[in-house]
Amino acid sequence: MSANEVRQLNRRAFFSVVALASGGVAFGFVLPATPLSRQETFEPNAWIKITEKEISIVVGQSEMGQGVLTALPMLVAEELEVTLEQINVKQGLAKKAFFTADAGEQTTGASDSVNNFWQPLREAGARAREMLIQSAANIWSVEPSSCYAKKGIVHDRLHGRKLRYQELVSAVVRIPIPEHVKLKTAKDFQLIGTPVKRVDIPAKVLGKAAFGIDTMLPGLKIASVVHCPTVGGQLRSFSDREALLVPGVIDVLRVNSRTVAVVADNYWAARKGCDALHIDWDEGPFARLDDAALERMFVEAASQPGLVAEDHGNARKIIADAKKVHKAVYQVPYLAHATMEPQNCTVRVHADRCEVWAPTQVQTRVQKVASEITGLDPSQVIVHTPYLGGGFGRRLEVDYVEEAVRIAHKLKRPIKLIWSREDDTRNDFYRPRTYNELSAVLDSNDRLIAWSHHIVAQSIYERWAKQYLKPNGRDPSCTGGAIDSIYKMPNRYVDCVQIKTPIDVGFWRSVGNSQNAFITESFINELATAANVDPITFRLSMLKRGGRASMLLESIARHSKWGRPLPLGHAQGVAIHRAFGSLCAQVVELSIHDNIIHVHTVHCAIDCGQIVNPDTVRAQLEGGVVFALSATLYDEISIDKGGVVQGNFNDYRMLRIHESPRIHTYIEKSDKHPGGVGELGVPPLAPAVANAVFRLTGQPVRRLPIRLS
Amino acid sequence: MKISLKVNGSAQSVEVEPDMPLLWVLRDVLGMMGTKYGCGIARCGACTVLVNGRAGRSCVMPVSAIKSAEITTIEGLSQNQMHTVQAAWIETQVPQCGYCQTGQIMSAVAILSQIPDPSDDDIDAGMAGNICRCGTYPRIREAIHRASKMMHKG
Repeated sequence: MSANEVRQLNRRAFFSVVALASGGVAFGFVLPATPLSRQETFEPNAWIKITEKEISIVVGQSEMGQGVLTALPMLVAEELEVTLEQINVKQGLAKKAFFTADAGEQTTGASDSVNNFWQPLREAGARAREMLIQSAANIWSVEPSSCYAKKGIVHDRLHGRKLRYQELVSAVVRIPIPEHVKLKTAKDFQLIGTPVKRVDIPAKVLGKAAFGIDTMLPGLKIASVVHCPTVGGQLRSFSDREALLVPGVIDVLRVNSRTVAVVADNYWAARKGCDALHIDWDEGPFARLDDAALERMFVEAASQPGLVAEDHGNARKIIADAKKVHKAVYQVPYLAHATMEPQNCTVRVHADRCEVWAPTQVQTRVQKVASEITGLDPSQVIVHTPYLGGGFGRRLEVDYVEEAVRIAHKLKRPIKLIWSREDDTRNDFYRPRTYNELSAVLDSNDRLIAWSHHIVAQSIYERWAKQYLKPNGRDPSCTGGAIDSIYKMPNRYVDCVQIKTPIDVGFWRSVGNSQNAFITESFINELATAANVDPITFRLSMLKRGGRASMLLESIARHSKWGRPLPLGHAQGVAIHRAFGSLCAQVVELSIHDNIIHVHTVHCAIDCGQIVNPDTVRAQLEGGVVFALSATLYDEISIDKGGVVQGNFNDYRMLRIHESPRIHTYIEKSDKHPGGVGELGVPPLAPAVANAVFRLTGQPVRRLPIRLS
Repeated sequence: MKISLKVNGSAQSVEVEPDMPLLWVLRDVLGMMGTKYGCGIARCGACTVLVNGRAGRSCVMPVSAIKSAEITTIEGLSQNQMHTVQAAWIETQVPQCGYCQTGQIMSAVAILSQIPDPSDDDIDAGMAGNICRCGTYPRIREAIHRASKMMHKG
């Protein structure tokens, strides 16, 4: 090494981290100069990559605001003995190692990332740590047991020597990966369970975070589309003459049987080109479909027997023979996802590979659809996952990916497809509309002894993944939240008629729980009211004393000061629900003026087992409450003339800051295996609101969104 | 058509259709991706920029109408150092998905420049045009109060 090179090394010796806020996150730092050696990489698994320069932790799951890009690295870092400030977090590509055990593909959803990776990521971190310790012990000729690792450094206890992980790279790559590792117990956690600041937040606040829609490539052209306005309709023909005259428009093409694309230099030109298209649509067989027709379909389907989901005891007979039966019909509408970032996808096709940048929750499916269109092997499809501007289950679909790949493949140029907000609202896979007949019998002591729930709903898994259908054909997404009740009921019967309608349905945050918690908890409340029993007391009488549900309900009652005297015109409402391995209970406090519901406060308690980041848990509950409140008060997707009526935020109303309640969150301490968090705030909100409204108006709420006359 | 703009203190000259909204000039022509598209009809606030210091929805501003107005985007808030509002936003851990947040921050900056110590009602009124689908509203309120305190400390 020349004198000049040594001088340069010393000058560059150390640059310190920019602290972005008090207690803020650093982006990683370059170490003091060490003797240069061959560039090697320690990559014992898909998640850890250590070079002489840096320590990286790679995440395969998609960051959509639920904090997975921070939580999963925390699991690795805990056992690897590094701090998040010392590492770079990187978004991974599509890889088998990132498959979740539950789904058998690379996917982010079902609130199951922490649940699935809790064990594997900690083990991965522990194995790498043990290997680093062993490699240092070898260099020092000591026993590994006389060494320990802390904050990215291996220490020799006896002689005070130390070596940074980056310095051990060329040694550790020779160490065999240990089969067994011992993991920390919770009392020794340094990171897990602490409110670590999220690694993606600084970039999002600075406007530097790249979402799918922000992808930039050399030579990139922008595409936008027109979809058939009616469901089940098809393209007959189109004239592109006027569209091609719009300055900036390059091409117009048929994408598939219901989609025409305009490709231009920029989105504005593409959109003006779309507006200038003259398209002749074959409206198809459903051109007269409307809400009235759909309601008739659901009512008619309800007269049929359903696929049995649950049958304990003798519910139907008890109900048939009972002198008094409580009955109710509940209905919920189709709902749009309305991610703030509209659907988009960027594609660049080469001879030997296809690159896709997509805000996606399903990387494996992106590979599959791109492979089918281009003829490449799925392994030749490189999937880049930028930040998702909202997921909520919309990004479990690859319809917009398919369109973008088709356009890029046909035109042989890099394409960014951007849907307009209207496209997004009208071409969704909606949370299913459902129709529900409930019956229940109370005994002479007002105990709930028989319960029957007859569901009419569309199947999602029939289209999305048939392997999840039960042996009798039942789709678990239809009955999720309606079976496996937390309550002890000796006689329960639940079945589901899986109706087919032309409206596409998909997974919407909390899936079946989003409607079935509303329906079951609201009906429970009707029964409590009929029995003249306090709603919490009624529930507790059906729960195991000292059990998790019972404890959570007592906790929320305490926190919300349930039953205290309230101002005139105010009421409290309660609901509790179990989903995705966790329990969530809520009490809302609201008032009604001029038929407008004002939700003042929401208390939200969760029991989700061991938690990784308490601040993220709180944020997800707050967010789930607001998300659910829009649906409870305002939202429905209406069908008229065969198409979706709503198009933008002027007619698909989102809750805004001035309508947003105060939200108080409470996290139960637990040592149980981590349950889901991301979707848990949603299911209890609608029934808690409905229950409070019922108390004030005397009328049970049986349909959403709530409409007071 | 050649159009001159002042963006974040710098003169920009672009060759665009006069009716192109400022949002798409920023994103597709100038490559400044911090300002977002959410609705295109000035209903969601994701496209919020400052026009002579006041919040405006760039998705409905034809670029030819901007003329000599000073445009500030999210990129312009922190050219030398991070803006206090951004520091408050990080401290409070406001963003979830983050897509709406640059628009939220621009609106918050606008409010604080008019009302240095806003009440909750002032915040509600000033921020009602910005939708957050992830529901970060409680933290937005908290961050604006925090920023206000930080700005008073100097």
